[in-house]
Amino acid sequence: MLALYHTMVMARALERRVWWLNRTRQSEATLRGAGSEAVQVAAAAILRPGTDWVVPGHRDLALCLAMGLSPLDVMLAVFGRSGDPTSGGRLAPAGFSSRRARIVGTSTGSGAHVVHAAGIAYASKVQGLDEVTLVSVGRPATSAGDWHEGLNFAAVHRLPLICLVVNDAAYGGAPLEQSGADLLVRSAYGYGVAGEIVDGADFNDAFKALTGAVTRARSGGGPTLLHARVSDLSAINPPGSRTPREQLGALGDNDPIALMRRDLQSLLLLDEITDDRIQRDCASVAEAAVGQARSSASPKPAAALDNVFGELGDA
Amino acid sequence: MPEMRMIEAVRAAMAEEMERDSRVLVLGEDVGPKGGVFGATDGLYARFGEARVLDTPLAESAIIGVAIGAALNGLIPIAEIQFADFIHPAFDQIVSEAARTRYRSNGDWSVPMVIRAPFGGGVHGGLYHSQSIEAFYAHVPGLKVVVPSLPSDAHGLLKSAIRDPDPVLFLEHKKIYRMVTEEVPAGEHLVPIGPAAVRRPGTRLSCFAWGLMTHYCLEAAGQLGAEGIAVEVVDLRTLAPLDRDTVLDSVRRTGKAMVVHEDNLTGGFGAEVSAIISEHAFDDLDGPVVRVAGPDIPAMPFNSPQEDFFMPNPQKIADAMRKLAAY
Repeated sequence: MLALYHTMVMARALERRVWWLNRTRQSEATLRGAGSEAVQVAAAAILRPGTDWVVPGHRDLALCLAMGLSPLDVMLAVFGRSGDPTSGGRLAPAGFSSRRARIVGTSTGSGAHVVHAAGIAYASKVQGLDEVTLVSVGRPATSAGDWHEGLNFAAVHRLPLICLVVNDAAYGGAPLEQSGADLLVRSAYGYGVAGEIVDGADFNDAFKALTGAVTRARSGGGPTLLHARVSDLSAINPPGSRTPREQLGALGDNDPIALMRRDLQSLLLLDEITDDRIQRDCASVAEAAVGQARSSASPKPAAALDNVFGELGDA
Repeated sequence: MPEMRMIEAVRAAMAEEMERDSRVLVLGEDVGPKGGVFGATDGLYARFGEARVLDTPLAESAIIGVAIGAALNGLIPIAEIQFADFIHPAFDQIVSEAARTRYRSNGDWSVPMVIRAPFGGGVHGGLYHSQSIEAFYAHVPGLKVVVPSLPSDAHGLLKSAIRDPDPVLFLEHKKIYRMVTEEVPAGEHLVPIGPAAVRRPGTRLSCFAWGLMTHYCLEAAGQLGAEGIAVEVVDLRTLAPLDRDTVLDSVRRTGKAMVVHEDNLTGGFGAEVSAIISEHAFDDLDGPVVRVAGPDIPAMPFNSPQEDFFMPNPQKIADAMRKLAAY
């Protein structure tokens, strides 16, 4: 649990560092996952890195770190360097990818990847592989057609799939309400799958729900729709946030890192000295990753022509 | 060397590859017990089972998206789109996802998969069972587009497509499914993706076509041959990647070029062929590059007079050939 706490702090440190780089015009990138780290590391705690599959959304930095991405990997993407394992600097950093870690990169995170996750899970099932796939989306993506098509396909074939929806009310450009239904999980009934609302800021609540979902998936019980409610703490940072100023203060009350710190302290697993060390260690690792990424090679212009097609025999 | 129609050649290619490689599976609407709306997958369900011959919900984006996911996890899917007209809901999955997966991951991920789609008109299919869609997709880097016109090519090209490391859009003209019978080589028969085929050599002009139009061009060239005008007919077979060398070599020998397709004229793939010829063989041309194509109206009306008005046919093509030859 302490290791997971460390990952949450690391994700937050990276996000803050990138935000500062962006504000000071040293990077074009921003990362936005603050507030949803607990449910992300809870997912990673129950999944098996390198065996189970993760198809992340655009806010799943903590999840990707916990599944095997390194802080340097993240910063290589942020600076668009050739060593970026996600895309070699081709994708604007948001979603992450690594075949080694079975993290499948996405395009826009607006729902197209839900059907890919269903396909991955179908392949696991028909090949008799003991694998679970978790796909993560923001609430607006549940309005997209691919959300429906992916969930419907997974339901028809009782696939080992977990659809994790992270409530994303402050998502830029999207209306706050995405459907006429008052609760997203009611749609699980319509698809014939299990559904549950979880407190995405509370590691214990999220871990319990995800354990149930993964157990269901592994035992042939089919997909689960989990709706994790979180506060978008990234909204505190950027000027021009859509979150009303008077609401920003209250968001901090739902900070998953603060909540987990309190839990760890009550269990006597964390004291202030150790916490300080973790905070300083993560800030230092983030800074070192920035330095290393900055000094690493940029992609060569002509390398833009590479990897459009593969070689015969690759299939 | 069995004789086959194109539909049987397509079916045989899939069955052979499924037998050879247990990673290959077929998915689409009604491809299972029904055997596909044209019968292309007839018998595969009984032979390979429901896990490998999968009836999907009526949702084209899911058919392609699920195929992408299955390919990411080690399978080689053949996704059937029942009619090419229905592929449009999957445009995003094909263009933004399948075609870009290798590129956007800098080679870390790839999606070896085939998308089969019956296309084309002249069968009273009306506006939503007649469309030609090749131009949309031949434009997309990361995607290969194959259009066979003969059973043996359909067989050998489809097997190559299944073994290709990248997504291949395989377009089968529905009117030639049962129109032509041909001997198809037995055993390991692979036709490489890319090279065009000169179907009829000639000296007076070069005519480039694919799918059904190859047959119509050959018929028209036969008429002109009887009049003493030797027309070369080149079946492109693969639109992406295009065999530029064969196109340019033919034009440099004949000095005149014509492209024939039933897709709409404007922005059709003929425009690309024409541009390549103009750019690289301008000094060899003795006349304008001519396009014979469907008019710029939605393809294509159900009723016979207007469907005939839309479709290029041997007579229209022969008339255009005579005019160009006399230029």
